[in-house]
Amino acid sequence: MNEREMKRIKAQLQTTETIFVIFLILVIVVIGFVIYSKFHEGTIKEKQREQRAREVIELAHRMSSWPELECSASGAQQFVCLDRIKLNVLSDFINKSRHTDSQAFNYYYDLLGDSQIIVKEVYPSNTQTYKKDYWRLYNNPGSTSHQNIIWVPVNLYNPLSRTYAFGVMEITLYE
Amino acid sequence: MKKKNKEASENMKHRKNMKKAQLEMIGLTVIVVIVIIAMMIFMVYKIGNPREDIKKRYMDKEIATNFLIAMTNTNVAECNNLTLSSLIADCARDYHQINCYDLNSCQAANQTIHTLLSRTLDEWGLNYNLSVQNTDISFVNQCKPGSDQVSGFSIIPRNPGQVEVSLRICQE
Repeated sequence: MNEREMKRIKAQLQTTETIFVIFLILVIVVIGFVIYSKFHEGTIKEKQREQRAREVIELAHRMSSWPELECSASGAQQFVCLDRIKLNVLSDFINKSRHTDSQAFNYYYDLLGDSQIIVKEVYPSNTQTYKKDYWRLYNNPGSTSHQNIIWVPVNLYNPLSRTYAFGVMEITLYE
Repeated sequence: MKKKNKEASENMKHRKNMKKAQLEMIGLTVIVVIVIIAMMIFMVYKIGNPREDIKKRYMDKEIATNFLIAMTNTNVAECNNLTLSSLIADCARDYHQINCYDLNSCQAANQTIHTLLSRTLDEWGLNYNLSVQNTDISFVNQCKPGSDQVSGFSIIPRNPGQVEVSLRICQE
């Protein structure tokens, strides 16, 4: 084997080595990119989850002191208290405005989005009779089956008998 | 002689090359081991530290606080529509003054709180620990000692002093 032949074989070997190294680096880069993408996807999903949690908290907070339903004694607003008579009026109003597709429903849609809001009495009555101890205030399920349910314990004030019952506001948020 | 020297020199060169290759292999193995250990540490850290569910914690806190406020304001139908707070305050006294037909204030309060809990927190699958200071009223539902808890408190005025009602919801 002469020197020229040797050099040729060495050059070929070096070229093969370079190609192999480049290929290996490319594989490592691709694997790294895939891992990074997966990690980044997880971060984005986590951020979406946090955003959703913030929305849920905001809505629950807003609903527990809804001005349309608050009960007041001698002008003083009471905490976590809903007026039964206002409940009847508001549930009628929202349901009617949903059917007529009026401006009022758009107002509540901006406020509540795709959700369902139910108020039910738990004590003393617990018969789940519509408008007696069960009110569906708002129902707009959206297109997804994923849902998030929040319960807010409240008092239900009867201004006629001036008594407080124990109730629960059930807020279902559709994702 | 010259041929022998050349052979010995080539042998030496070959051995040197072998040693170099071995060293490179060891270096590569060390790098791979370091990368694997780093990845394992990262994975263990990620799995071992799950992100705290802020929403659940906040909502449980809201439930605990709102439950106590709503509960103490509720009128008890079985006891002349007296509020539960007045029954609890009477129950915390040495001598009970309120009687609801065949129940005393402690029994009536106990019965009402049990009804409220069974129709709400029990139904929602929450583990809790509710207690009323200076009384025998206490409800515990699978709250493991040492578990992370969120608490709500309510103070009921009593003459003299006050009664503290606490509700702890367990984060399990």
